[in-house]
Order: sequence, then C-alpha cells, then structure tokens
Amino acid sequence: MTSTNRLQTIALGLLLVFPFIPGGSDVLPSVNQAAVFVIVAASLVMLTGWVGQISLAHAALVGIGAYAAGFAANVLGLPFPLNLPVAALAAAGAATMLGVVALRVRGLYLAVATLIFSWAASEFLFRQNWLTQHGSIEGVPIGSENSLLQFDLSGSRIAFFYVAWGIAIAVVYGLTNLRDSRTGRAFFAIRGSEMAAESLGMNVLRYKVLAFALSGALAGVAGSLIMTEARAVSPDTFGFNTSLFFLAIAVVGGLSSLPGAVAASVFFAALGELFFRYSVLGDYLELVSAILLAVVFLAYPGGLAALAVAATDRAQRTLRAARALPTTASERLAAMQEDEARRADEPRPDEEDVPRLTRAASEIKQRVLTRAARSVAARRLLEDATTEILDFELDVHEGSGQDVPTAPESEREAESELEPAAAAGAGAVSGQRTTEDVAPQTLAAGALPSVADGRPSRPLPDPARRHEREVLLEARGITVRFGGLVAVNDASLSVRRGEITGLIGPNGAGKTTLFNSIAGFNEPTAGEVLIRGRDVTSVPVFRRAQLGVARTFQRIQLFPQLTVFDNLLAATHLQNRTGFVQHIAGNRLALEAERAARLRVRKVVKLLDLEEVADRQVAGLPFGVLRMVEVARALVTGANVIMLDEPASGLDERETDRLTEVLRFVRDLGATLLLIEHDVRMVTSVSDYLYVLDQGTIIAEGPPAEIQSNEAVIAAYLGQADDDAPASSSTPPSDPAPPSDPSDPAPPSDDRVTVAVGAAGVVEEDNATSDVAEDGRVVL
Amino acid sequence: MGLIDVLVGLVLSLPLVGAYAILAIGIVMIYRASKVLNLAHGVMATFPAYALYTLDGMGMPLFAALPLAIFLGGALGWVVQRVFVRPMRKLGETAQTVGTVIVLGLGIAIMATIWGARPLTGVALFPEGYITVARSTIRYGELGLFATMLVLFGALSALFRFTDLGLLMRGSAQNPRAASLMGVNPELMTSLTWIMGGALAGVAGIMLAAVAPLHPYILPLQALPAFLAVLLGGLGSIVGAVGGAAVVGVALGMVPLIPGLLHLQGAPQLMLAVLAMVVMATRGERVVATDVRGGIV
Repeated sequence: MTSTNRLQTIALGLLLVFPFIPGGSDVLPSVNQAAVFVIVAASLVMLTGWVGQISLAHAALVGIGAYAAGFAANVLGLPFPLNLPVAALAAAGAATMLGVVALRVRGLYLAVATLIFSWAASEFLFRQNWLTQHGSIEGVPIGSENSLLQFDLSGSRIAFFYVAWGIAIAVVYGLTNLRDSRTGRAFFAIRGSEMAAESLGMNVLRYKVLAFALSGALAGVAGSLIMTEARAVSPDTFGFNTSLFFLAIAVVGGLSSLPGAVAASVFFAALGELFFRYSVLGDYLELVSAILLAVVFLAYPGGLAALAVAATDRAQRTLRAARALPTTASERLAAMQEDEARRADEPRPDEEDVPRLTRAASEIKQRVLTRAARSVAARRLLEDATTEILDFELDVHEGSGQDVPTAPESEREAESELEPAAAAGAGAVSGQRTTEDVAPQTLAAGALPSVADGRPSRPLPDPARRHEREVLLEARGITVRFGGLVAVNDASLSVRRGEITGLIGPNGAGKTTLFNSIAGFNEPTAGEVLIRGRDVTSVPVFRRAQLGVARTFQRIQLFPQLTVFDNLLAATHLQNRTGFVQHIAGNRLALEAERAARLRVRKVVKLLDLEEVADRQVAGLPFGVLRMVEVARALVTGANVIMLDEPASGLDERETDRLTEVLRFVRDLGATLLLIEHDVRMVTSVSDYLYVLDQGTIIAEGPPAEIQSNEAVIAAYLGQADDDAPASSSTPPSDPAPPSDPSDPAPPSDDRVTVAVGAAGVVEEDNATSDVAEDGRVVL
Repeated sequence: MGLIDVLVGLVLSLPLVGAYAILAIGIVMIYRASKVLNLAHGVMATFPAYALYTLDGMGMPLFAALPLAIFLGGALGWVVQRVFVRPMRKLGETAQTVGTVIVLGLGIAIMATIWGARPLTGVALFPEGYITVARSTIRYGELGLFATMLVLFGALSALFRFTDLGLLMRGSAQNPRAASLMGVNPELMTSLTWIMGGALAGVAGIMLAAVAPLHPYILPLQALPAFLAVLLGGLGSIVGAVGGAAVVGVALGMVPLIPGLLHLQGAPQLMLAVLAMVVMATRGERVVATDVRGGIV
C-alpha cells in the first residue's frame, strides 16, 4: 500500500506548512477546531466502534477535562502542558464511573445511562459556582510563574495549531497501533460476544473499564485544549447536543474507522467554517449536520470509510489493469507475492461471490504473513510462548513434504505420563513430526477428511492404564439447583490427559448445566471444580482459560463482524504477553508478538484446512464451517483441555463425520477434550471414556464399548424404568428413572433411534415394546 | 421533614408520575415490539406539543387540533420505525439504537429551527386554576396529567388483556415467527405498536408542555426519567413501567422538599443521575440477563 503511504506523507507535509499557505491562516480557527474534533472522534471510535459501548456523554467528558484544566491552571498553578494530565485524569475518572455502570448494563441501557450522566453534568456540575469561578483560565496572568513551561496558546493560533495537531496525530497513530494488537482484538471480541471473550482468557471487566478510561482520558485532553485556547467556556458548550454532534462525526466517519473519523472531523470543521463565513446560509449548521448524519447513516451505514474503500478499490483495479511491468526488484518481488496469493485464491469456483474488498484484503494479509513466516525472531518468540499452557506444538514446517511416521503408541503413552513441563517439551517434538506429516497433504487434498485419512488414526488409549494418566480437569460432587429444581445432582467426572472424555445423556439430563458449571458460566450449589488439582470453583471464566481450559459453545459464539482469521487471532490472547502501553506505542516487542500470533493462527488454519474461508467474514458462513472455526479457535488458545458443548448439534451426518475426524486429529496433536453431546453415535465413536448423565445424575461411566451395553444407560435413553437395572461396575445407580416420569422427553429424537441401533439390540426391543404398552405412547 | 411535607411531596409528584408513566408505557411497548430502547421518545413527545401550539395559533378549535396533533405523534412513530429502526435490524442492536439517537438529534435540530431555541407556553387542555394542599399548590393541568395517565393505563391494560388485537400485538411481539404462522402480520403489529407509542408520547408531551416550558432542548429530555422507570419496572410489563414511574416521579418530586437541594441548580438532574446509578447497580444484571436471552435467538 505504498500509495496510501505516499498520500499520508503528502497530507502530513501539507499540514506542516498549512499556517503559511496563503489564506491558510484565515481558516486556522476551524482547522484548529478540527484537531480537537479528531481527538474526540477517535476516542469515540474506540469506545463505540470497537468495544460497542455507546456513549452520549462525550461532550460532558470533554467539559470535565476543560474545567479540570482550568482548575489546574487557576488554582494549582499548572499552566497548559502541565494541566493536560490533570484534565486527562479527571475525565478518565468520570468515564471509569460510566464504565463501571457499563459492566452492569449493556448496549441499550448504557446509552440511557450516558445520556443521564451528560444531562446531570451540564445542568448540575458545570453550573456550580465554585467550578465556573475557578474553572476558567480567564484572569490568570500569563507568564507569571512557570513561564518556561507555559505556552500561551490563546495568543498564538499558529502555536495552538502545531500543538493540537501534534496531539491529534499522536492519538490517531497510537490508536491505529492499538487496533491491530492484543488489546484491540480484546475490544473487538467484547463487542462480538462477551461470553466468548471471557472463554478466550480475556478479562472483560478490565478491558471495558480500560476502554472507558482511555476514551475519557482522550476526551479530557481535548477539553484541556479547548479551555487553553478559549480561556473561558460556557457550560452550554458541553450539553448533550454537543455529544450528539461528536457521535455524528464518528458515525459519518464510519464508527469503527480512524481515518474515517479524521476525514469526518475535517469535513464538519469545514462545514462550520462555511456557515461562519457565509451568513447567507443562516443559522442552520446544527440542522444541516443532523440531516447529513441521517442521510449518511441511512444510505451508507459504513460511513465515509466504506465509501473510501469502495472508491480506492475501483481505482486500484483500473490502475492494475493499466499498469506496465514492474521495474525495480522490490516491486517485482511484491508483484510475485501478490500473484502467489492470487493464485492461491483463484481456483475457487465461487470467485465472483467473494467481495472484491475481501480479496484485496486477503492479498495484503497474505503478503504480511509471508513476511512474518520468514522472521526467525518471530518464530523463536512463538516457541518461547508455547511452554507453560501449551501441551502440543502447532509448528508447521512449510514445504517439507518428508514422510515421517506417527509416533508409536508406546512413546505417546510414555509422554503423557511425564511431568507437565517435560511433557510440553516432548510434545513439541512429536507434534512437529505429526504436523510435518499432515500439513502438506492437507494442502494438496484441500478437503478435511484427508487430514485423518492419510494415516492410521491412533488407537484408543489403553483403558486399563487410564488411572495412570494425569487428571487435568475434575468435577467433584457437582450439584446445581435452580430454585426447587435439582438440575445436576452430585455429579463427578474427571478428564485425563490425552483422552477424549464424553458426557452423554438424553435431552434435559442436565448436561449443559453441568458443563457450564465446569466451564465457570454458573456456580454450582455444591461441589467443586479442579483444574490440575487446583480448586477453581469460584474462579471467573477468563482465569480458567488462563489455567488452560478452552471451550466451544452450543450456540456458536464467534465474533460475527470479524473474519475467520481475526476470530482465531483473538484466541492468541493468552499466548501474547505484551501490554497495552506497548500496543499503543507499537514497539518492536508488540510487533513481534503480533507476528508470532499471526503465524500461530496460520498454522492452525492450515492444520484444520480453513484456508479457503480464512479471510471471509464469519457472518454468512455455513454452520458446519463455523463449528470448525470454533474448534480451531479453542485450539489456537493453546489450552490443555478443550471443552466442546454439543459440537454436532445442527450438523448433518457428513459434517458430523468431518468433525469426528477433526476431533480425533486434535487429540492426536496432544490436546485433551471433554465432549458433551447427545448424538450418541458420534460421541461413542470418538470418545475414549464416557460418562452418562440422566436426570442430573451420573448413572454410568466407562469405555464406550462398555457403556453401549449398559442396561441402565439403555433404560435411560428409552425412558424405561427398571429398578433392577445393573449399573456399571464403577458407579452405583444412585437415582434410576421413575416410571413414566413426566419430565422424561417424549418425542422420539434421532439419538434415541441411534442408541437403539447402536446398543444391544434385543434388550432394547423389549424395553421399547413394553414402553408402548405401559404409557400408550410410541417411542420407536 | 414532617408527615405533611411528605404528603405535599406526593401531591407535587403526581404530574411527574403521570408524564413518566405515559412515556414509560410507550417505551415498554416499543421495546417489546422492536427490541429497541427508543431514545427518540422525547422527540416523539415534543413534536406533537409544538404541532398543537401551531395549530392552536392558526385558530383551529381544540377538539380538532388535539386529535390531529396526537395523530401526528403516531405518524412520527411510524416514520421512525420504518425509516430509522427497521432497516437497521440487520446491522444489530447498536445500529438500531444509534438510529433512534439520530432521530433525537435531527428532531431537536428541526424543532429548534422551526420554533426557535426559546421556551414557549404550550396549549392548556385544562382550565387555569389550582387547588391548595397544605402550603403547596397544584394546578388543574397537573392533576389532569395524572388522571389522563390513569385512564390511558386502564384502557391499554384492557386492550392487552381482553381484546383480540391486544393478544395479537403481545403475541407477535414475543414471537414474530409463530405469529406469522398463525396468519398474523407481525410487521403490521410492530408498526401499530410504534404508532400507538408515538401517540402516547404525544399525549404526554402535549400535557407536559402545558405545565412546563416547551423548549426543543428541554422537553425531549423529560423522557430520560421514563427510561429509568422502565429499567426499574422491568422491560417486560406496562404495570412495571407505571410502578417504576411512580418511584422515579416521587423521588424527583421530593427534590424541592429536601432542604439543601431547593436552591441548588440542576438538583433534579443530580437526583436523577444518583437514582440511575443506584437502579442500574442493583437492577442491572436482571435486565442484562433478559437482553442476552432475547439477543442470541
């Protein structure tokens, strides 16, 4: 994107000499105003566009910053550059208060809360005598004390111009860095799905408050600039109509686009200048702004940003068609890489369906990734990051098509009994081998089943040695009551390293309730959850993720506005150790962490063969693909244990088979899975160990073969009461189903039929017929 | 504060309770139908008040001007839904809410342009005069506002509970797909709800304008306490909305009786903000829970 860079350089150059351009100084007040707009709009873009928190209180926050700046200058003797932090802190404090409210009320109500805040600020706070008397700089002699540190910005428009635009550009630069970083992705993730964000290890509470505080600080800086220039302000300046005006700038710009916000700021400042200059236009600035906002919102909800992207894209296509052969070496290289990327994209039959915008974006991304993949430093960083929580290594050695057999069974078994730390190291070695073997095939075949077809699937772990494997996740005596209803009753289960543990049960058995207790989405009434022996019963979801437990959702919780690739990138949150200040600065560490994250995602994309959809927006992809993306996302987190909540629900038989292959493959990479499912065929075929839940109680556990012939299980699935049903060897039948229980699911669903077919045939038929006879309802 | 003061406060609160309740009922109805908190509700209240002001100024008799103004409020509700809310459904909740915010800004700008940013006195529907309770007076118009609310609340409760139309409106708000399977056009019901919500807002605005300044920047904000009332009463029921309005109205009505607050500028707004913090901190999670459940489907 050299043309964009060139454009930026030209724009910055123009800006630098602007006050000295003939006529430039005449419009300087409006140009200065535009800088203030840019700062406020950027802070709104971050809060509303990225984190999805509507703020109608930004004018109030700017006002608080302005009065705090005045107060600092007037009372504390801190003139302009020194009162900036005071203003930023004051406004950040007020915004943090709003952020705390936002933790309790979301979306719709937040808008109301901010509106009330704005009203109270302009009618109460800004009208207090002590504030208006001490809050303006007017009357403060300039250059008395701290004269060295003091800029008299009110005296010189040119000085204000450079200071204000310097700050505005720094703000936009910092936020641009932030956007494509760990913090920025956490922001976008919170907007997409707070539940999913938590499950990826993001501390939603912290990030929300951080977003509010940061946004408030920026608004405060803008307020300080306003006060410093005007030296006295009227409280009416910061009414809610000003907040609406700021929101208008952000919406017209495209709400989540920083360049759009800059363009819209300049546009509205120019509009103001126009109305100021030509009094013929009358006093209609507010009306015209409101109408413009409405028109842009209705016709182009994407704002100026979307318009610009469409226009640039059109221009680029024309340009590309007309362009002669590239001449310099670097241009040739770029062209080659572009061609490579295009060729990888091309053979798709649905080429025309893909929006051109997406394709252009994919080309850029491809280039970035190629560069990233070659960075040795990035690779080393990735390896460093994958020791503690990552038990399996996703290192794909590109292009090495050598045939390496899978690790022998005995070796794998040995590995899983090692110390956790050692296992991580050993896992890295064997994992490499596995993926070297697999990745090229995946690429060539382009279809998912080939992942597992290419080599023999690993035999099930030896059930006899099960007790030797480490328990990674354990639930002990979980009981969940909703009012008088006992949804889960004293259920215990343990998930051991390297296994796929299944939890099955008929509809309404309490599977999902138990699952949510283990995942931390509801706290059990009694019992405890342990991760590697550590009690986590009342530990929040994001901390459990940090301890190495990832999950998928029955109702898919991807971030709909992001691409598949960016969804996966969000899951690198825990792998990335860089902090928010580094992200804003965009320093080397942050960039390297970013490269490492992208590399990691690319590997998983390759492993699970999601390359075709990587650059597509999640909204609108087929359901089966979304499931796969959720599994991939859990894999990217590098979690020890991946919990899957009914992954086969909503999938057809072919997709379920594909998913089964993928889950086996993921286990073979070294991951441990806990699977909750009512598709019995799927779960028995993929699990190493099964628990059966019925009416909130675990009625049986054991290897799938054992479970399939367990009469208590068959009875549970067929709704047959049999008090003498023998339980499995390991668990007593604590609570067998009473006859014709009304809560027993009546309609014969698919999985019931499957059980009847898959389980011991004769017994089941007897049960079925008697069921019909007793209840008078047909089950089979 | 003696008992008599409390009594006075209650009486003084009546018009506030009336106005907030009428607005809150409309907000709840619209929320149920479109899952949107209609931030334009204040504009939908203020516009008919201005319309009535102009119609009255043109010499139109009240019995014709009043229904026309209320009808205009309904029409505005319909336009807001059709133009700013329904097309944004695909873009999600935030976009829909931003849509109503834009109507708020646009409406205020238009009203300020037409009628000027200065306070006017709205058309009085009730005769001038007042009754005295203890040391305070309450105007007939203010009492009328409360009485009107009671009548409207009763009528709407009856509509939703006892009539087929009310049943259809409730049903299609709860599950549009099931309603359309029953042969009901849920879009029609949604539009009807917005029209009724707009008309209700209009009634509240017209009556408020008679007892409080009619000003493009002030009157639209009178809907804010109603939002708080809705949050307090739960988003699901109009009975809850009226209950919430009673709490918020009394809390704000008591402000002048609290010694330190009488001469404090912006005291009602301060009280509202404090109340909002308390309500949201204590009731927030419940509302969120219902929102999430509705949002995922």
